[in-house]
Amino acid sequence: MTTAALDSRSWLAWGLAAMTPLLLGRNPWVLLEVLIVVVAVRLVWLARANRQGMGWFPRIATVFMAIGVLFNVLTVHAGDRVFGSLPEAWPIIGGELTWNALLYGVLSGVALFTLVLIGITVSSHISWIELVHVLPPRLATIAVTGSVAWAFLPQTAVAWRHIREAQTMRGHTFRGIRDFIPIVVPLLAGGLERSLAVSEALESRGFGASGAPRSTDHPIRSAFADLGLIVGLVGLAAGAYCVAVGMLKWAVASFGVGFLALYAASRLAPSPGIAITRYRTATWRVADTLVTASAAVAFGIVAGWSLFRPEALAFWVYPELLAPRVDIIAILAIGLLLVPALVVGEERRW
Amino acid sequence: MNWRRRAAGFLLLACVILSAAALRFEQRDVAGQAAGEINVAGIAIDYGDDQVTYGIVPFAEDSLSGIELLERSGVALLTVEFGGLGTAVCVIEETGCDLGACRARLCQTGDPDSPFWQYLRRTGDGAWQTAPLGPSSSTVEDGDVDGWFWTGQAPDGEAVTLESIGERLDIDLDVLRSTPPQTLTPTLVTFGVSSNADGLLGRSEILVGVLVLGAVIAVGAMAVVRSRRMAPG
Repeated sequence: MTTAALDSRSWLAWGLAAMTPLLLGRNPWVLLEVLIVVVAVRLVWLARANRQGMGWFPRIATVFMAIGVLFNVLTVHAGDRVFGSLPEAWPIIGGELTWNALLYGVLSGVALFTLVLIGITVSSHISWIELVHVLPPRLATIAVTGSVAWAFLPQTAVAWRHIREAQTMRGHTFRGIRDFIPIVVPLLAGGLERSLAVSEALESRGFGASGAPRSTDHPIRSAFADLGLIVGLVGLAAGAYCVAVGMLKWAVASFGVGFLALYAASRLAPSPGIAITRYRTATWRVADTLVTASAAVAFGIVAGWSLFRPEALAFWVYPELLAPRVDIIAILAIGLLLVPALVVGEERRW
Repeated sequence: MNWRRRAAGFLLLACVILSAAALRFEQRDVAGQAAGEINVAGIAIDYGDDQVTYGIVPFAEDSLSGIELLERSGVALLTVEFGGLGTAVCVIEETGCDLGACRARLCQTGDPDSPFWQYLRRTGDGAWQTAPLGPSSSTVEDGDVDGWFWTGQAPDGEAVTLESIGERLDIDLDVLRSTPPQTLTPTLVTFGVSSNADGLLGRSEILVGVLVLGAVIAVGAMAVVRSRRMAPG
């Protein structure tokens, strides 16, 4: 049941399930458990990851975490545990400094750091080529655009390192912020060059062009496909809005209608005639099923449980600092996200 | 370079002087208020779970805003500033919503019956009426009673007057007005037992949490050690 590589779809499912509890609440038990799970999975799969240009993400997340904590302590003056105060006359930052605000800042920082860690763990294992292959031909352009956008930051980080090393070899030293000009200017120029190269490469491969003229054989079918696409996108947008305003029943209905309409549109739409060459067929293993199923169960339990019992993942530090509750169902469900760490190993055929 | 340093020095000095002056004016203002006559206002807080807090709040000023009265009542409070729109109340004691939900929707969800903190004023006959202005803009004077209700529907709180609150709290309002104490402290009493009482975090709950986290750490560590052993080289 062990595997040396997981399917990209399994990684996406795991990433979505791992991010969900962090986005739904700030319960310290939950945050700590997700962080432990993510660190374990990351360490286990580190040797097999594509780590190019990813190393600076945790560092910058740590910096943002520190800034967030400081900002929260200085601007939020609520809470019952006061450890200091600044003169009230000072605008914005004047007032009591509380442990409540400090703790909330730390929790938010940990959540942010863990989200970044999940993002780079998933992105270092997914293969965009695989994803392009599994998506319906009509959505291929979205997948290609996503892959280009996803690769932007790591490529920029690599370019930054190369330019800095080249400038150092020329004797350039960094003493202040002005000394970054010889790095930033080539970085911008390089970014423009890369974007031009990518656009030319896409153009030369016929990206965005329809391979075959719009079918006139099945006008009704094409019209239904277009309608399905519109209904699907509207459904997803309405679902996102309903989630934002807390209309969860309507959100589930909207997402359901949206996904069904998109699925129907993808089946009804005539193929755009894009020929996809496959030199290696991706295989779906037992380990992929295990990881995807455990992620789906964890996601379902965490999301569903938070609907019935919102306080399961929530933690309030204002106005009184109380001990966070332990929700046994939520933390057991999150434990399922450790499955990717358990299936790594030599390839075995079943 | 010198003129820049001088300008920065002058700016810093000006900031310090302005801060000190603002602090001084504020202290004088408070001292002036304390020397005046004593006014008394009442407050009723309905938590929506069969618990109601009644309070008598003495104050030296001629009037307060509704939010100032709530702050001076001494209840644990979480509020959010909305600039010119005033202040919103998110949590009173332990009832309310998180800061994010409060900033986004004043604790309300998409459900039209979802609760939020409603601010009402007492009318002449003791009944409650929704305050046309928010708590930041409403003026509370001697004898007024403010009400805070955690509900998503029209509040149906018991009609009260300042005198009836005084009787419940066993406070003689005339005596309080005529012989004000040195420090103006509010008096609050909560009636009823919360139907949502969840209890404090028990030791068994913490133990379960620690055990589950310990198990997750143990399994994760074993997986990491196993993967290191299997790693090539």
